[in-house]
Amino acid sequence: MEESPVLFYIGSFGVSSIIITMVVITILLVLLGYVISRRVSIVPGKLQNAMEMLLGSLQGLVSDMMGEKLGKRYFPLMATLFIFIIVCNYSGLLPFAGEVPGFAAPTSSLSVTAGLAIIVFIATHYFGLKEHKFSYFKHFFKPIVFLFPIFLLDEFIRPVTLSLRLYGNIVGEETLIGKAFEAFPLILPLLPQMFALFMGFLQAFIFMLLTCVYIGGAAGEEEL
Amino acid sequence: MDLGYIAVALSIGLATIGPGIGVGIAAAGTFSAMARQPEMANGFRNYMFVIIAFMESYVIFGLLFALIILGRLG
Repeated sequence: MEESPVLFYIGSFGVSSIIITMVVITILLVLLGYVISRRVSIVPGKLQNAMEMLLGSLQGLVSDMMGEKLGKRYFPLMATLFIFIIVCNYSGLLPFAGEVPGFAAPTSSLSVTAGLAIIVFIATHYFGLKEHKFSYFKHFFKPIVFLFPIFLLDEFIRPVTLSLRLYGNIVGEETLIGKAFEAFPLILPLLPQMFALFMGFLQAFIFMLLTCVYIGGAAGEEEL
Repeated sequence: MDLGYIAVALSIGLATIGPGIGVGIAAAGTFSAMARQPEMANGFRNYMFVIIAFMESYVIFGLLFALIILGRLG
């Protein structure tokens, strides 16, 4: 679990290539959103049409998992997580990712995935407290009081598995592609790369689905 | 020293056995459900991914322990 080397310092803040890639991805996504939303028309252009299709299918998915009302309310968080993670995963497939200083897939660092998982952890309990006020804590003691330690442990294991799942999968497939390049650089790397295309989507999808399940469970309508 | 590497290989290798079987069972169940009710296929697929993610977390614990042991080996 080695960290990526620090390239230069801003004050006492070390900047590694993962931070640079993350900032570039964020700027690109914000620019994309700005450019598309600047000229929204009733008859959509090509780019607007593509984005509307993506967001529409995501909205349907989130609504399926959490219910209509909650799905609409927490959709921005889910869509942000999904789009950011999938772009981060696919950035590792570009040529020279991980080889050139200043360019590495952000999700191949445990710090990034742990940060995302901590956001989900805090959001889960914040939204749960916001929806149910103080009675939110009651669901730790149901159905039986002395299962409380296990429920508490479960709450703290969730961010650990969430972050390690994403990190492990991305690092694993990148190692696989690297080894394939070392063994036979002509055609062999295509197979793990196709696998990585699929897994990059699937991991972003699973991250979003699990966030839906966690937040839906904490902030859900049903009696806790 | 060499035994440590065997421990790493065993901790990730043994951790994959159970979840591998479990993912197979879950996928088989989902596919038969999807064949019986094709109009619900999307919902089944989403829930299958959630269940598979839960099973995968045991593999991830194995991976975590493998990485910890690798770190101790230095």
